[in-house]
Amino acid sequence: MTSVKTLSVLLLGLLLIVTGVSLWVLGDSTSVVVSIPLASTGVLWAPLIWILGIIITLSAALANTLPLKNYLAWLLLLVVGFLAIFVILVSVTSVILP
Amino acid sequence: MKKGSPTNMTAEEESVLQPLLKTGKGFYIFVGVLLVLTGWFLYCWYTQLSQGLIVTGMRSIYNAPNYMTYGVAGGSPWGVYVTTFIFWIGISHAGIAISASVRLMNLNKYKVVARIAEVLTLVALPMAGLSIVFDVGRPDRLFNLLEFGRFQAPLLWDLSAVTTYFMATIIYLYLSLRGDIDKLALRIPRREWFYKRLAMHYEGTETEKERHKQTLWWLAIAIVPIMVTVHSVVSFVFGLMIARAGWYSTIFAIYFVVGAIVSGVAAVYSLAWIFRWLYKWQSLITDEVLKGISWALRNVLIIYIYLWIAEELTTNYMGPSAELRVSSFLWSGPYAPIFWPLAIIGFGIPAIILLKPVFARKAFNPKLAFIASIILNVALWIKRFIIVVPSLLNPPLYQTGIYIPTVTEVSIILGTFWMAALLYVVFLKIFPIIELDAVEA
Repeated sequence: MTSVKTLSVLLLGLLLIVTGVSLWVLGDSTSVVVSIPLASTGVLWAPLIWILGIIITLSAALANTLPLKNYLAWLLLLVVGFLAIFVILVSVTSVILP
Repeated sequence: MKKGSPTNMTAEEESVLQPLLKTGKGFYIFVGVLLVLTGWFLYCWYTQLSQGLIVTGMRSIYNAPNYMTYGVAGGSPWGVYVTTFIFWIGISHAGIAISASVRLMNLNKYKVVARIAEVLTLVALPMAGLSIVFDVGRPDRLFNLLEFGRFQAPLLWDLSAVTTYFMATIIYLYLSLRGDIDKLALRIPRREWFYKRLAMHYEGTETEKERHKQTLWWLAIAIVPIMVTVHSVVSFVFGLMIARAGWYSTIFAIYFVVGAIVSGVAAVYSLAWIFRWLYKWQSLITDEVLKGISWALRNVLIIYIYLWIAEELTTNYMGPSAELRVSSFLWSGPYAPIFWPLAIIGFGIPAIILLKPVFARKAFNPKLAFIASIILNVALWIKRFIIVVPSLLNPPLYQTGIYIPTVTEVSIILGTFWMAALLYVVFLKIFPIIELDAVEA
């Protein structure tokens, strides 16, 4: 069961990395990306998808050692923590900047 | 006697848990001073944010009006902030690397310093990230990196690599700590609630221990290439810029990686020595352990000096005129008073101290090696400074500029050191800085 969990997390992470990198490269070098729904919003976010993929891939180590509930809590902490750094910095500096 | 009370501990465990169990007056004074200094740093950063980068010395203040010079005519848009970014990345380098090497190569003797190194990585990486935030004029646009980042930009490679390294560090540290956290729930009953929850149902069975061991082993395998990638990518921010003399070099990636290992190992040695002296851990962090770290430091230092000489020789022997201009700026120009003392005092003296035991077999002196490690860390910060600034001060199309960091800038970069120290101290008060397993072994 643990192996299935770890493998699933690894695959999901790798899939996100490949998706992110593909969007990233295509979006920057060709117009192919226009046909991809995510890009049609006008906001790419490809680097974010790739970075989330990295976080999820690495979290396979946690999936391999922790109960599912605790693993999900950790994953949430890592992802929210990463985004929170940006949110806090952007919010605080937006208030201070003239 | 109540089961699980602190008195149930072995003498070694009690010794390792000293920082968690006892808090002297000196601790409060130290933390108080750090908090005051951090407050000053926050004020300076607020000043920079509210008034703009004009409060820094990054524009050329002597050659032309400010609006003309910033970033184009001889100023240095990357000053002490980017220098400090490379410095912290370097410090972070050895942390997990040492720990991963200990695990992969079964260097059990050095397990006592593994966590000292891991925590160093954990506190150094956020400081590196912050140093970049200080350097950008509009940190409120940071989300643009995630939204519109271009994959060709080394800065985005940096973001990816540093994030990967930071996440891997957190996960690695937690998994290596989990067993200790579970033990702490028994050893320190007043914090049982906190440790029990943090241990997340850890039972300490043989199967569980084996699973952790295997997972950490695989994670260690992943971490070593990540570590090399991080500092290589930092070097690409410079090394891929053809328009800047002094940076465009094929040697830069390995040069940066080795430099990072030197500063990281030196920092680990310094901390290990300080903890040993502070908590009287001579029987835990033995002379032999310190000697081993100092030997590793000596070896990577020799490689670094060799790379430096190779770089200087290649540049100065029939180098392009722009390269020679930057080089003469360092060798005989305004930066010569920094360059030569750096080479002689900053690298020469530590090299002599660390090489001495090779020629006199019993001459290893932990205190001298500690002095060498401190000198090396200061020297490596200055080395990064003379990599970053002179190339920017000598642009190909404009006149040579001058860069003098302001008090605000210096206060802000010093702030990263105070915050790193604070974070380290907080960790020290919550978790054991030496693995309990290493002590039992």
